[in-house]
Formats: sequence, structure tokens, C-alpha cells
Amino acid sequence: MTDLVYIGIIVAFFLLALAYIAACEALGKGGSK
Amino acid sequence: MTFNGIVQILLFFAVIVAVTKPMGIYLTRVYSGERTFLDPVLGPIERLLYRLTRLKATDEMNWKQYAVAMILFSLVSSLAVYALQRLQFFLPLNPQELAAPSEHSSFNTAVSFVTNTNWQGYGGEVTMSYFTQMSALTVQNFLSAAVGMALAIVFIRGISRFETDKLGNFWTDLVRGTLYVLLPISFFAAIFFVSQGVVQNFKPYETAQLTESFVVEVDKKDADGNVITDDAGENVKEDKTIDTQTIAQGPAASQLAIKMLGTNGGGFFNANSAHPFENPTPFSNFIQMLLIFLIPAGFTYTLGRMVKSQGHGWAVFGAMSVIFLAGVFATYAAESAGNPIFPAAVDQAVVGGNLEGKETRFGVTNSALFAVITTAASCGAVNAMHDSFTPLGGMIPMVNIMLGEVIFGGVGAGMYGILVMVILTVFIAGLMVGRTPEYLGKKIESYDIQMAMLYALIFPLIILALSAVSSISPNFGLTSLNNRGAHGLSEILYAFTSATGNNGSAFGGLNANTYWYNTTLGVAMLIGRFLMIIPMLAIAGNLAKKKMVPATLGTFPVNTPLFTVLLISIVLIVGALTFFPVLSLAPILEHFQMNAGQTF
Repeated sequence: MTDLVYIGIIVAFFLLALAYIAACEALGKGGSK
Repeated sequence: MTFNGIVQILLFFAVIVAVTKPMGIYLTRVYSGERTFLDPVLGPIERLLYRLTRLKATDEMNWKQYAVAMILFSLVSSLAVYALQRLQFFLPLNPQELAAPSEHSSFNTAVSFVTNTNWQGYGGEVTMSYFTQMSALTVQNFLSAAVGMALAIVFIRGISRFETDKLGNFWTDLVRGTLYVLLPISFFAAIFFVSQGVVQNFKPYETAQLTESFVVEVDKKDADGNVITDDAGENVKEDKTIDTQTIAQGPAASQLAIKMLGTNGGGFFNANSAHPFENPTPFSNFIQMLLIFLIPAGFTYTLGRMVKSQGHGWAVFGAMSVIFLAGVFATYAAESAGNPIFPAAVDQAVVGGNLEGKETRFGVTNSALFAVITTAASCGAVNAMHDSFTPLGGMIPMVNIMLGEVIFGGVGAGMYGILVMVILTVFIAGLMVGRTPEYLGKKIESYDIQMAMLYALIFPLIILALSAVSSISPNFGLTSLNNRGAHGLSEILYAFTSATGNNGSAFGGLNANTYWYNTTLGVAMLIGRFLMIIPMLAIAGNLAKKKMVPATLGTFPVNTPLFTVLLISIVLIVGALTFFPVLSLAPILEHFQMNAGQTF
């Protein structure tokens, strides 16, 4: 069970990182000159 | 400080200067896909790898594709390292029949090695089987270093290219960095280390009979191994005679070589490079220090070569060198001065300074030099215990990490870190003269600075927030401390700084192998690596798309001593302004308390 928690943390973080890529890109489209 | 010690430090620096150009040229050839002298041997292996994976080496990616590939690769790596640890009891090459590390320790170690941090909450020889050390940890030493190098090259490509969104192929950069740079140098370095006495075998541990036994006090346990307590709840103690010593063995040399070259720093043994089987001689110590700086120094020359401004590369090298040498001599001076609380009859000149926690094989000079090198670069290997340094001597390694690991820095990570600082430097210089900032023919615009600030701000946010929570939590934060007061705060602060900065060195004195520290330090490592890389890649992608702006009289030159001075100022100001308040509560306060006669 605890294994699943830590595997979940790893997977969740990298999903967050993928979302962060999208957010950084969106910021560029919205604000870059 | 002695003349001999100063000469040793300057000799080390002279060797770094000498290897920077050849290493830089070689790195340029490798990442430009040009032919190298290793092609006849490694070329067929590289092409075979591409064929097996159906990879088209010439297919280039934009920054988002590159980032996604890097993230997915790191995700799979993290899960693999976690699984290998948890299954180690069932896997081969485990002569000591070591059980699996706990879940929280396995999580911490998995992300630690994938992020090139190599923070170790465990002791290698009592926790990891030979198979885990080799297949999980050493493999990640290569791959995480190769990822860092690939990212540095991407940033340099972003600067050197115009009107394109293509920055290279992540898989090609990963393969070429591993195959042409890390593997060959590590191979010969490992053989050298074996020649110096580093062990490389699969033998079970040896037991040696001590010539002189001694008695220690230990907790008394019942037949089931449970600690016996008295009526007051205190542990019952008993004397135990120690007359044997277990001598750990294992494939240490092969891990040691890449541990230093890849600025990973994770020791095969718990004592890391202070262990006689991991760093046996002053010569092995010198080569280990050299390996740490070899690639980061070379990258400065690669930068100049690829952006066609060699003067810029040397200007960046100069900024790194000035901060590095200042740190070395400050630490050396602090450690040579020793502890003023020693009785007045103790002559510091005879004692040689503060030798607590230091190997007599290396002495004060090489301990101070090693400590500054390993924290300037994001290596994290140690040959002395930083916890035992004087307050100011221990503060310099901590400050090195707080400056963002840009003083040569980790393999690749140091280069892209300093380039973000360069962007900020050019921006601030532009503000000073009221012109749009330009950097090597590119206008620096709002998006570049937004991303640079995301890069720069998340680092102190994580360190300070998690240190603060740990410092006020008696149930899970403070219980791990061996020292109280200012020194205790230094221990907590150093741990989160080291993790977030992906350094991995431990100040010591803090038991980090707990649910709280293993989990929070693991999360700090992930954020400190990947959430800083992504905005950096976004800057690289944005720079590559820009048109060439011809240089004018108003363009700020980035190949002059003035630029070097400004870059040093920005690095110091960003670090000092952010961390000075907490430093004043920890090592600086401790320094004054020590001079007033108080220890912790």
C-alpha cells in the first residue's frame, strides 16, 4: 500500500511537470512580443 | 594557511584551466555530431542503438518535444530505480542478503539519483546490494548526467541558432553524451582508482579480528530483538565488547568514477570519499576533484565555440573562477584558523587547524578544497564531514549551493544555470542604460525574463518553506537533529538546500532517514530539478526563434572583464539577498557564539 503511495507521488509529479510545460508555453503565446 | 596548501590549491586550478579547452573542443564535436577519435570504436555501437530503437538521429525537436521526452524518460527511470530497490532481496548479487530499503527511503533514493542529486538517506554498504548499486544507482549516475549535459547543449543551441524552433534530438544527445563522453572517461578513471586501492569485486564482506578490543554501551534487547526499557521508560543499557570489524567490499571503483565525473556524488560506502576504499590516496583525491570540474569547465569553452564568441566563454569561465577561488580561500582560512574554544595552550599552527571530521590523509587543505569543489559543482561527494567544519567554513559550501550551483556547477546543470544568470545580467545591464537588452544578437524580451524569474524564484521558495516548517515542528522536524540552536538550523537548512540544489552532499548531524525528511527532501529534489529545467528550456526555445539583431555601439559586450564583474555581482546579489536573513540566523550567528565561547 505504501509502495503505491510513493509510486503515486512520482507519477503525479511528472504529470504536474507535463502540465507545467503546457503552462510555460501558454504564457509565451499570451505575453511574448 | 600554509604555502604548501596555497600551492596545492593553485596547482589544482591551473590543471582545470589547462583541460578546459581540449575538453570543450571535444564536447563541441560530440554534440555537433562531428567525427571524434573514438568513432571507429563507438560509431558502430551508436548506429546499432539507433537501429534497435528505430531512432532517426537527425530528427530534431522543438523545446516542448524535448522537454516531454526528458520528462517521460525521467519518469520511467524513477519507477525503475524504485522497483529495483524494493525487489533487491529477490535479485542476484546480494551476498549479505540485505533486505529491501523502506518505501520512503526507496522513493527518496530513486528521485535522488534520477535528478543527479544523489542525496543519500541510507548507508550504502548496509542497505544496497551490489546489483542495486550497479543496475539502479550507477546506471542513473550515467543517465542523469547525460540528461544534464544534453540540456546545457540545448540552451547553447538556443543561443547560437536563429529563426528556428529546432533544438536537437533528446535521444541522440543522451546517447552521444553517454557513449562518447561519460563511458570512456569513466572506464579509464575506474582503472586508475583500482590502481590506487579502490575495491572492485563481488566478494562477501570480510571480518577482521581487532588487535585491541574495546567496550561500548548499547541498548539491551530481549530474545525477540526488542529494546528493553525500565520503569521510567528509559532504555536499559549493557556493555558490549567489540573485537571484530566488518570490512565492506563490492564494485566500488566503477561507481566511483562516474560518481565524480557525472557530478553525482552518491558514495558506494556511507563515508563517501572519506572511506579508504573509496578514496585511498592523496593522488586519488586529486583526480576525484579534477573529474568533478572536468566537464563543467569544458562546457564554458563549448559555449564560446558554439556561439562563435570564444571571449564570451572565457568571460563566463572567469566569473565562475573568481567566485570559486574566493570560496576556496575563505573556507581554507576558516578551517586553518581552527576553533578558538581550544585551550590557550593549544597552538593552532602546530595542530594545523580544525581537524575534527577530517581525514588525516587529506588534511585541512584538501578537505576545504574538496568541500568547495563538490558544492560549487553539484556533485555532493564528500571527503570530510561538513557538519564538523567551523561555522564560516561550513557556510561557504552551503552558500555555493544557494548561489544556484553555477560555479562550474553540475555537468550541464551548471552551464544552463549560469546562462539564466547571464540573461538576467544582460537584462539588468540593458535597464541601466535604457536600451532593449541584447545577448549575442538576440533581443531579450519579457517572456525570457518571466521564465528566468520562474527559474530563479522556485529555488529559494522550496528551500526556505520546507526549512521553516521543519524548524518549528518538534514531532517530525526537530527530532532528527543531533544539535540544537544555530547549528541545528544549519543542519536543516543545508539538507533542503542540498536537495533542492540537486547537490546531494550532507551537512551531517541530521537523521534524514525518516518519513518526513525522505519524502520532503525527495519532493524538493524533483522540484529543484524539473520545475527549473522547464522554464530554462522555454527560454532556449524562445531564443532560437529570434531574428539576428546586428550589434551596435549601444550593445553590451559579453566578452569583457566588465561583463564578468557584472555577472559575478548578479550571481552574488540574487543569492545573498535571498538567503542572507536565514544565514544570519544559522552559521553567522553560530560564528559569533563560538567566538563567545558557546558550542552546540
